[in-house]
Amino acid sequence: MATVIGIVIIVFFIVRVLPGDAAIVRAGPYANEQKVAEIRQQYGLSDPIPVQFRDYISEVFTGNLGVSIRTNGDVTDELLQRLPASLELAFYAVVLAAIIGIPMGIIAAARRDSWVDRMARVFAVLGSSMALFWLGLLLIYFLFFKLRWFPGPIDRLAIGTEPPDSITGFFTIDAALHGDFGLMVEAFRYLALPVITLGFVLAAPILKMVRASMIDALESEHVRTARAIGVPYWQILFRDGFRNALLPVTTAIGIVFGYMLGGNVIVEFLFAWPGVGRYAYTAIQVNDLEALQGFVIVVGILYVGLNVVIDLVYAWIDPRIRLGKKVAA
Amino acid sequence: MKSNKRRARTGAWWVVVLVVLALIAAACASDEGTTTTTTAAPGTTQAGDDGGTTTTTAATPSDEKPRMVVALSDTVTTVEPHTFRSTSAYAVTHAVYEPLIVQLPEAQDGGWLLGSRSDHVGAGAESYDIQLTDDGGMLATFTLREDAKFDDGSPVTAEDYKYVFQRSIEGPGYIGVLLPFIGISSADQLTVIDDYTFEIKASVQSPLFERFMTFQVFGALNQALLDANATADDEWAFAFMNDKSAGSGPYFISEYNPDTQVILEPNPNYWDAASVANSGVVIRTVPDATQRAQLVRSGELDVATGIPERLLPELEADPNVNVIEIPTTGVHYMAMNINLIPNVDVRKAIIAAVPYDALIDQVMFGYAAPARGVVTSQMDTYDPAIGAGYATDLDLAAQHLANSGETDVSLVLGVRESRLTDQEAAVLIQENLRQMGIDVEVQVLPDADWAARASAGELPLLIHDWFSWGEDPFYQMQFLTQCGSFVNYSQFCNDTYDELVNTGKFSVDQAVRNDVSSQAQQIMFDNAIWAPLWSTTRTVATGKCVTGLELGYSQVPSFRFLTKTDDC
Repeated sequence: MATVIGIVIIVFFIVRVLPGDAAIVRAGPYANEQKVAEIRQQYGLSDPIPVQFRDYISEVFTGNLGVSIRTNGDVTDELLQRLPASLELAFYAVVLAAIIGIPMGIIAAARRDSWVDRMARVFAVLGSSMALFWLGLLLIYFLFFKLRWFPGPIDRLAIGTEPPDSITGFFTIDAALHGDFGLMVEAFRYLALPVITLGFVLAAPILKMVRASMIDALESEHVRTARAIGVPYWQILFRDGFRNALLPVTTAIGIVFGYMLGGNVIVEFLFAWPGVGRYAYTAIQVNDLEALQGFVIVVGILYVGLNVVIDLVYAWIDPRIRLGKKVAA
Repeated sequence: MKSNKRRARTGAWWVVVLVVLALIAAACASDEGTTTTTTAAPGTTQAGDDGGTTTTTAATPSDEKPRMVVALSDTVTTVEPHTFRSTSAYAVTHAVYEPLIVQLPEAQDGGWLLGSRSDHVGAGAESYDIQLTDDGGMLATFTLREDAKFDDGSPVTAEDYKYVFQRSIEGPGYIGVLLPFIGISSADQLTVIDDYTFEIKASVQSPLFERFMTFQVFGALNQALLDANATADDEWAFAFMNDKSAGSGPYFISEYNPDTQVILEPNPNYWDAASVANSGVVIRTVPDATQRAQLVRSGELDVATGIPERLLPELEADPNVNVIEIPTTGVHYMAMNINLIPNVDVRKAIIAAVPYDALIDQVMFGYAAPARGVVTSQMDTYDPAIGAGYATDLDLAAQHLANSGETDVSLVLGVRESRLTDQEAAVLIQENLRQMGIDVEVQVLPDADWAARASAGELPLLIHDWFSWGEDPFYQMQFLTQCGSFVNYSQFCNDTYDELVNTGKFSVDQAVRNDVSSQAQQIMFDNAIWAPLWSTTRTVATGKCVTGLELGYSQVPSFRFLTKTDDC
């Protein structure tokens, strides 16, 4: 809670440091000073900072994130409308990154310095150094424009397709829950390119973390002992090696997912993905302070929630943490 | 305990396997058979709880008319018709609100339509008459169509048109700033003669009056609906209209998602519904211009605007794409702030050093014409003798700089982050000025910061662009260079110049307009406040089989006749 309060307070002051005047943009070129002043007053931009802060705080804690000066819409509604798109993209990207990164990391650690390990390291370097937008452009050009394997970067579903009634906000899951598997497949088709773009790049840190953690675990005393007494290799690998590597890997996945919540602006822009990242990008361009504040607060809260989930996962993975809790209690 | 763990692990692996399979299936699945088309049928306007028409309708499209998909250059910000908004938002409102008269559409090669600059025809009005009056004003009488209806089926009356003008004058929108240009400043000048006769008495004789009447911002608004949704704080229902449509034009808004998609359905009660050539228009936001180009090439988009000029040659070579090119009177210019660059010889040196041809060739890839002044080379009353002075001449530039007596000139050139062409132009200008010994620092600024600094007169040099609805030279001069104008970024103030502009804008005598315009152009040239970089050529990419896109004074596309054929 203290973290969330900190975010709420800090974000208010940070966005006000941004240069520019949203009222002038909103007023347009036909305006005059009077019109601009009216807009400033309408959106509370002419009030002293302490007054703005008081109003902001009182509204935020009732769930009201204000009105966007760009769209005149309610920021809370606009963010909630876009959030599922971002979460769905982030979720599948992290899943794909984990699917690529974890097995590759395990194999690379198990076959250290072999050609497999070298290939994995090359992949990690490529993934770490490749610009997201460049990879996205390549994938769009070849997989959509040239080969037509995937649909164009136009939204979450084809034009004319009605989205499923919202249960989770994830089109893939909602379609499946409604039994519309054709729609589910279509949702996956539109997800595929942005997910591959993000998944490829995000797999690199997971791979590196798994590999390093596994190597540490496999070189530990107890693993050497296990080997000496003839425990089967696969058992050593998964029961002793991977299990011990799970904590840092979970941390890495958590960090990657947290990064995805607010950091996939480029991919959302490139693929016309209607998420909160694109919303924030547009807000920054025109100094839409309320929208920007709302975005940071929502992402901040999600990030805090994510950390709580990771802590719970730690406890599930490592019994010592649970036991420690009991002792402390 | 162990078996629970095993089950959990097995479950986790199943999730992973399913996701992989789903992604593989996604890649392999065909496009066919996976889309459910949902459109509104003609005749099924659906009102929301609040009386607006934003609810998504589900019905069947016309069997014969295609549904068109359009991606414009920016996002739809608001559809409130009297609030300043994005270009895409103007396209939406253009489709929804019908003005009293419209430009006569003239067919062009390639199957698109250009609004006539001289001939107008009735739209909301069946007929109209405009007379000059003895007191130096104008009297316009509009006889409305009795069969015109709003999308909810209620009739359009003279009261609704009066309401629009009254809302423009007295409401908080920006339109009131424009109306004095045609001599309208009070609701007293608006008279409802009867249900279908509406009269406007203008206090001046403006050659722009008829053109103004075609502007979408004066399209009929459903007064009863707006009154029902007005509040004490918002008597003109601006908040209500932010995401609703209440018009009598060819379409109504059936779905509104700012930043994502707007769906326009044909208005079943439109008086000329049969003329609407499509079964609806989907306006999609595709923020990346390169992707817009690829989507129109692949056939997923029927119309795309805002395609970067560097991509146009490739599009023109594509047999699946038509590129429409329309020379406009729009101007791209570099303003010089006379307060921050007070030496007129320095400004003249800058004007002579700008690489005008290179900008058109290398930045605009030939999709532009020389601008030659605030009254551009494509514009009525343009004086070519004065315009010829805006040419690259480095020797002359050096001479002006020597005359200025200034050395070590160092300036900031501000450009907007969202305008890549401006940034590219700035680099070419910077290089030429460097050769002259003028050091230019190009600052790429967030749009809001640029706007604030430009308005505050803090930028010595800046690149801006402008297009005047109505394409009138005096309208353009008033906004861009007259004393006190909000976008007079040069901070130029000259009484004689202002007097000439005022004379021209209220004169219907072409000879007088030509004369005062030339004098004004000369003053502007002598004071060296602008380097006019280029005059914009509007480009629109359409699918090969797409026809009927219409463009008029506002350059905002009109979709009424937009369609596509299978046998092109």
